Amino acid sequence: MFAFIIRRLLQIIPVIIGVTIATFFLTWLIPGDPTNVLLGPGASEESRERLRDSLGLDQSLVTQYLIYMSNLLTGDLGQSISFSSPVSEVLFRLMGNTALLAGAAIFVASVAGIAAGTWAALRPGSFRDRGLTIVVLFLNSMPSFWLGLVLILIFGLHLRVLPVSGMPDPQSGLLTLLAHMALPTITLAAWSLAAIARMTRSAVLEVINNDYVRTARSRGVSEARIVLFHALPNAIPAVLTVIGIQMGFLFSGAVLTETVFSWPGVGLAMFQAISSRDIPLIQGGILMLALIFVLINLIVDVLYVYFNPKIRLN
Amino acid sequence: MTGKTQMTHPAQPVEPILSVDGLSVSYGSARQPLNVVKDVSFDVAPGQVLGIVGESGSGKSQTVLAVLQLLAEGGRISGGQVRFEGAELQSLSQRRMRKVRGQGIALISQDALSSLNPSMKIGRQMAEPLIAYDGLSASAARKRCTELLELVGIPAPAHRLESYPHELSGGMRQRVLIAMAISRNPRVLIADEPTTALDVTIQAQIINLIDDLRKELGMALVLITHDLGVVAGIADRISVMYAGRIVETATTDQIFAASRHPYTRALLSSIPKPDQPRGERLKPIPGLPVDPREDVRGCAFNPRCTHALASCTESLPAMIAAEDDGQHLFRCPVDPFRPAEAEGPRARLQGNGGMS
Amino acid sequence: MNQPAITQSPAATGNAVEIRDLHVRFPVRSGLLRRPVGAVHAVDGVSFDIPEGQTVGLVGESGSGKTTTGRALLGLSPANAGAIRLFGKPLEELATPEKDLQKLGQLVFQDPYASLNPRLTVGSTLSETLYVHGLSDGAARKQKVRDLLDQVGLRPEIADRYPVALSGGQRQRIAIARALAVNPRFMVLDEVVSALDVSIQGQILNLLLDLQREHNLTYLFITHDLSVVRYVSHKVVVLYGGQIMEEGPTEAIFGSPRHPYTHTLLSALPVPDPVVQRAKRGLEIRTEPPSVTDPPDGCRFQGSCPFADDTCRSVAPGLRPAPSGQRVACHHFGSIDIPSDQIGITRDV
Repeated sequence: MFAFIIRRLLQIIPVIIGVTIATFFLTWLIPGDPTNVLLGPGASEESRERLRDSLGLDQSLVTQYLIYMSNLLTGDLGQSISFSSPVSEVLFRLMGNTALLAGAAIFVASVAGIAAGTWAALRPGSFRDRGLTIVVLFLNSMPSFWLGLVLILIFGLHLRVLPVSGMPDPQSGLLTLLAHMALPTITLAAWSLAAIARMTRSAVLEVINNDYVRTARSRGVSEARIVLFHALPNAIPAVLTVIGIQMGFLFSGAVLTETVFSWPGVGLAMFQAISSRDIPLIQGGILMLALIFVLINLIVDVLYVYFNPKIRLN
Repeated sequence: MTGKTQMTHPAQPVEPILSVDGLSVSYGSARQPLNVVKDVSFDVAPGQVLGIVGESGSGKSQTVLAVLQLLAEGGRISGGQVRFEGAELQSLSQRRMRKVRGQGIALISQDALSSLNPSMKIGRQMAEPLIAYDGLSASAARKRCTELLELVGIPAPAHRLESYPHELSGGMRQRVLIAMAISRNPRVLIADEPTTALDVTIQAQIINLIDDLRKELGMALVLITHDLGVVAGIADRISVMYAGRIVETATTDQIFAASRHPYTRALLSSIPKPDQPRGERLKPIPGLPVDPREDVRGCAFNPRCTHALASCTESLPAMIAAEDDGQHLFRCPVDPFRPAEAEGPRARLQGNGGMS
Repeated sequence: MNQPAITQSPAATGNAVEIRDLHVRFPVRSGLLRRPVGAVHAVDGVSFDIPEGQTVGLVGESGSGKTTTGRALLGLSPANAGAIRLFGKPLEELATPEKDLQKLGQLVFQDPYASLNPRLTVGSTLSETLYVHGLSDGAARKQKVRDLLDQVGLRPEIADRYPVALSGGQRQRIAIARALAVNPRFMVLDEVVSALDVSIQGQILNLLLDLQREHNLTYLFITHDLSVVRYVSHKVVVLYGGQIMEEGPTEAIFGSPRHPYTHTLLSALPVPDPVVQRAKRGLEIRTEPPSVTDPPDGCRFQGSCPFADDTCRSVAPGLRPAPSGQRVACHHFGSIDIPSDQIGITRDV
């Protein structure tokens, strides 16, 4: 098991190098003079020259990448233009807010998705099973910004029961925080909830037709125990894979949701960076999201092995 | 004659512990049903061994799954009844039926690897119903499971409780499955092809083990197999199934020495004898095996039967008693294997002429 | 091994297949760098011949190395040591290009369903094989497919069907037809009837015998089922733990088996006779397969043998000829007498 984790960690290295190359060349994909992009058309030739010098733009491409990498390794992601502070600082400060939202969303999506999927799988073809299929389809075909706006209309403007924007002060208490989180969490979770529910349903259905479930039944074990102790544990690895993929999507999905609800996270900052052409911040943000994606996948792989004794013990 | 076969003699009528009467099983819609078991009847007396022999698609496994009400999704009992210790099983509540399973009638399935939960340790799987329903404490259940594993001949049983199924050999897994089946002291043991995937030496060990346990614990045994050799040594009676129906039922000696149904005969002569000279042609049954999707008119075996008459394709043959004692029944109006001296009147048991 | 090296030409020996001291090991990997930490000794010094046009039955339980031996013969499991000759030529010479070896020897598996592409009709499966090997084209290929189906006793309409619509016996016939498509001279038949109903097994075995006679085919018939082996084989090789326990003419192996393991196998075989089976009921049958990663010194069968002594636990018995015509790897086969009422009752059936 330990050797497996080490091996998986080593496999990450080439992926990360690939990501840094991709983000590095982002600057080169943007048409025109990079100094034009970074400083705006009105900048003086002197400041342009200073920037070229500090960015090493007059050096060869390989040297530039090496400089970029050595800066990266010391935690230097450059200077954000719109926040006028180091990118690493900006991201570090906002990451907590995004993680809070994404974490809440994946929690809601997993718990509700697994419960709904299992519930439907117990009676395949029944009214509740078909009902779930329709809800899943509905959630899956709805863009999150649209769902966010609808929720704002209903709960914020119409019923006036929930706050629709921003994040409260830490001093204002847990309840206020949860109230502010409610709508963005639901918006962010909806799509993943549907995917997880669908996967759970088919995984449980597949497992429940296995011979060992019949063995348990033939020994008089009740349906409730069969679902809890026989079907779910064996269905979990398949569901975990989906949850892992969804977590990756949640962080990138946060861009839209945070924008709709003005949630002060990495997503909102990225959105603002794109509109204000804050390239270093975009680069840093993408790099961080990619790293999170890779790390989550690693965790899912490890959990997958953990839930499969056959793989774990070999 | 051994003591076993005498038990089946009508001179000592024993109340059957398990009695299946006219059982039919269908899959699919009521309008277009796929009938996999048709009008199957058999009795098993306490301590007795019944062999049910049939090839793939004969409905033998579906029959016993229906007895336990463990049919797969879409399957249902479409006729007949099952009685266990006098109680009609279909009228029982879910709760009572769960009690019958395991405590009354236990099942040993064919593929031991897929029949054990891959992510649960052997000890936990074994102990689950003992703790949940029989009120055993965790340590008492553990002690009982160790004893059970010892009983089925697993070395270092306490150690094995901590193993996962994939860590055991095929023969060991089958032994674990047997230990699980007898863990709640059932009265009837149903073994569905318990040795199919095993090596021939392990196969012999497992069959002997099941039969030893039956004697020791006083259970009745229903042994389902495609291999007549497997049941020959331990069954008191044998029922031969073809295309969802029992075509012949008799004592073991009668089946092997004086079977009357052409299918039973053909099946026996298709088996290569261990002393079969090399190159002497085998006598396989011509044609294709049973396809449950096809509803053959009349006797289902008629397309492959070398003795079939025109009438065989028209109406379903009734069960006929070979002798007056009613122990030997078969379904063939042609009766090509009637012994010369037994020309006397043949009793018609039922006049069921059409397809059910 | 005390076998002469292969020196004679194939014409002189008449052997289609010659195996000398074959070893096949599979590395067991573990740890961070997946370094080999040991090896599974699947086949451990196996030698035998198959005369052209004849059948050798390779018998053994799971883990005995029978399938690996069969695969090694067709270059599918690389041998670590030993020599294999097919029709007089070393396997290494035949293995390049691969297609030459495939044209010479073909493998048929136990599960015909798994070895047939479910998305191809039977006709496409067969004509694809013909195409790959550059055998006949266009209209000739269609005719060849019909001929192949006819050879395995199937009607030409079957060509339009998919594997899912066929019975197990029909699928096995298709698998045999596909193997025949390249006109092989040698076939490895790995448990070809084990998955079939008893009433159908005979159809396939009869077909294989007919094909052998017609085309002078050489078979290696791999199985765990002794009753089938006796019917098809000229010679029987009994494997246990990767080594040969006993080998020789079928009549000798079944008529007067000399190795305790062969006795065990024969007595465990279920016979459709209640009297015999009841008599065998008291027999204790013990087999505890030896470790494949760390095989014991001496005889591989020592752990399950009632006659094992110190010699058996330290010295590996070589194959020695027995008066009845077979060769036996047992220190005691001359001196011990296995009572026929205890083991091997099947002999008297």
